[in-house]
Amino acid sequence: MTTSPLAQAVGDLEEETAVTLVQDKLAKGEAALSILEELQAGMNIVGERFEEGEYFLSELIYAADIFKKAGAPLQEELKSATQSSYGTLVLGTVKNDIHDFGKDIVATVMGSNGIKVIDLGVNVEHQAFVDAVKESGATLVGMSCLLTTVFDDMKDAVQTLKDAGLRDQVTVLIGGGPVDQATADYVGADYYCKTAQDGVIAAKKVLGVN
Amino acid sequence: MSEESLKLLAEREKRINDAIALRKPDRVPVWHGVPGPYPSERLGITREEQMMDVERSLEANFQTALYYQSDMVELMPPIGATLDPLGYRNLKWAGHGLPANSGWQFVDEEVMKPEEYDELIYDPSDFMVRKYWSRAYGKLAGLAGLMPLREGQGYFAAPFAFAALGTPAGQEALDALRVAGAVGLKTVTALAGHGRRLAEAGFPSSWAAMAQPPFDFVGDFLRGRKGVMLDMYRCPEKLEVAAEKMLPMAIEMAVRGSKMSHNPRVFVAIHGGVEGFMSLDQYKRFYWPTLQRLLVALAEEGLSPFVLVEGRSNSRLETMADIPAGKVCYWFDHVDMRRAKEVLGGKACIAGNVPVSLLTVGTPDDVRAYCKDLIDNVAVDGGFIMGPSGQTEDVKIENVKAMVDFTKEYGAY
Ligand code: B12
Repeated sequence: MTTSPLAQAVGDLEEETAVTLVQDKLAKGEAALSILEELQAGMNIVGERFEEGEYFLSELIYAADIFKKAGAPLQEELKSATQSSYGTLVLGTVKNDIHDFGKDIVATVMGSNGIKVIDLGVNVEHQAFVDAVKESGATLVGMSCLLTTVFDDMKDAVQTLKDAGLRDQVTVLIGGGPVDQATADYVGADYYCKTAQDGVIAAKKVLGVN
Repeated sequence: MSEESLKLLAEREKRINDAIALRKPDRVPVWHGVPGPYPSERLGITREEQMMDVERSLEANFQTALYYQSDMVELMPPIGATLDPLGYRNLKWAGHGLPANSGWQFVDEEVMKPEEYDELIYDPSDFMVRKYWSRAYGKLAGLAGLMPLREGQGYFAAPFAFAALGTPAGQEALDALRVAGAVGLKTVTALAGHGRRLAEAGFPSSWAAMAQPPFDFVGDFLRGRKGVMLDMYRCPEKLEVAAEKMLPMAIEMAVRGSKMSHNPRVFVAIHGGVEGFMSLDQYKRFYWPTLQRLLVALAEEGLSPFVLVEGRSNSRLETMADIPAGKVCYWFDHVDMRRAKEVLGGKACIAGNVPVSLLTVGTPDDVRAYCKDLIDNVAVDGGFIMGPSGQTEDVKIENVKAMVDFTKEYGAY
C-alpha cells in the first residue's frame, strides 16, 4: 500500500502540513470520509512507530492532537447528510480503554447515515450498555476497543447484555485498531467492522435499509 | 533523650550518610517506606485519619517506625486537613473521592493554558496566587479577581487591591483561608514536634525539604502531562524558559527547608522524565538540564538530594551519572540494578528497587531472596540503601518486615 502525503504528514507529526492538506482536499471537493481514512492511515504509521520504540507517549499524544485538529473541519461535512432515523445504536469505548477518535467517527458517520446514536463515551461500564439499551430500546450496540488487553472487558460487556436477557434483541458491532474477526468470535459479537463505513453497511443490513 | 536512643540515632544517621557518601557503612542501611497498611490494620488508624487528623496521623507514623525499626522514617504528612477546607481539586484520598481503604491519587489536569506561559514567566508569584490557587483550590476562585499582586504598593492602590475580596467569591476564599490557616499552622507545628520525637526514639527522618524538578513543576501542576508533551512540539522555547525560571526557586525552597529542619536530605521526585513518556533526546533537551543544575546546586549547599526515579530508567543512567560524586542518592523504581551500579558506581548512591508489587503479592521468602540478590550483587562496596521501589500502599506488613529484618541480619559489610 502506498502512503498518501496526508497520511505521511500525520505519521511524521507534520502538524501544519496535515492541517493544510485537509483544507486543500476539502476545497477540491474530496469526500470527507476518504480524507478521514487518510488521517486514520497516518495514525497507523504512528502506532507502528510507537510499537517499534521509535515513538514515545509524547509522540502518541501529539499525533492524537494533530488528528483532532486536522480532522475538525470534516465533522460538519459528515454530520450534514440525513436527518431521519432508521434505528438506534448504543455506542461506547469499552471499560479500561479511553481511545475515542474511532468511536467519535463511528458516531458521526452513523448519524449521517440516518442511525440515531447514543454515545456513552469512553471507559464504559458493562452495565451502562445494558441500561442504555433498556432505556432506548436500541437494536444495535457498537463497542470500540483499541487495546488487546481489554478484549476480556469487551467479552464481559457482551456477557452482561446476555445476562440481562437482551442479547437476542440487539446486534453487536465491534471495531477498533487491533480488533478482527477472531476477536469478534472470541467476545461473541455479531459483526467485526474494519471501518466506520463497514459499520454503516452492517447496521443497514440489520435494519433492512438500503 | 536516653543514651541508648542517642546512640541508635547517631548510628543510623551515620549509616545512611556513609552510603550516600559512597563509603561502606557497618551494614546495608534499610528503610521501610511510608506507613502503608500498618496503621489501619494494627492500630485502627484509618487511611482517612492519616490524611485528615494531624495527631493520629503522626502517631501512626511513629508507631509504624517503632514496629519496623529501620534506619530512617519516611512521612506522608497529614496534608488532607489543610487541602480539604480549600477544596483542592488535584488530589483525592480515602473518603475524599476514593474508597475508605485507598491511598492517595494525584489528579492530572491542565491548570494553565499554553497561552499563559508568558504571564507565568513574567511574574510567577502573581501567577501562583491569582491563577494557580484560584483554579486548583475550588474555594479560592475569588482570588482570580485580585489586581496583579505586584501593583499593590502605596496607599491609592488599597481599595483596588482588596476589592475582589469583598465579592461573595472573595468572602468565601477568606473564610476557607481562615480555616486552612489554622490547620496549616497546627500541622507545621506538629511536624516539627514529630521530627524531635522520632529523633528522641533513635530514628532519623528520611528528609524534610523537597524540591521539584523544574520540568515537572510546569508539567505536574500547571500544564498537565498531556499539555507539557504537546508543548515540547508546539512551544518548546517557552517550556524551556519556564523551567529555567523555576530552577532558582526550587533551589531556594529546598535550601530553606533543609536549614529549618536540620536535615540534609532533600526529596526530589521524577515524574515526567521517565522512559516511555519521552525519548532520550527529549529528556536531554527538556528534562535533564534543569534537573542536573538543581542537583549540583543542592550538592554545593552541602545537601543530599534523594531522587525518586519513578518508572523505568535504564536508558537514562548514563545521563544521570553527570553529577558531583558522593552527594546524590537515586531511589530506583524499575531499573536493571546491576547496570545502575556499573554506570553510577563511584558517582551516586543507589537505593530502593524492592518491587512494591513483590511486597504486595509475594511472600516473605520471595522478599528475602530479592534482597539477598541486591546485597550480594549491588550493595557490594557500599553506596547502597535497601528500600521499596515506590509508595508502599497496599503491601503486606510481613513482607516489609522481612525486607527490613533480613537486611539487618544479612547485610553486614
Ligand atoms: C491516538 C492513540 C492514543 C491516544 C488516544 C487519544 C484519544 N483521545 O483517543 C492516547 C495517547 C491517549 C493513547 C493512549 C494509550 N495507548 Co494508544 N494509540 C493511539 C493510536 C496511535 C491511534 C488510535 C486512533 O485514534 N486511530 C485513529 C482512529 C480513527 O482509528 P480506530 O480507532 O481504529 O477507528 C476506526 C476503525 O477501527 C473503526 N472502529 C473503531 N471502533 C469501532 C467501533 C464500531 C462499533 C465500529 C463499527 C467501527 C469502529 O472505525 C474507525 C474509523 O474508521 C493507536 C495506533 C493504532 N494503530 O491504532 C495506539 C494504540 C491503540 N495505543 C496503544 C497503547 C499501548 C496505548 C497506551 C497503553 C499507552 C501507554 N503506555 O499509556 C495508552 C492506553 C490508554 C487507555 N487506557 O486506553 C497500542 C495498543 C497495543 C495493544 N496491544 O493493544 C496501540 C495499537 C499503539 C501500538 N501500536 O502499540 N493512545
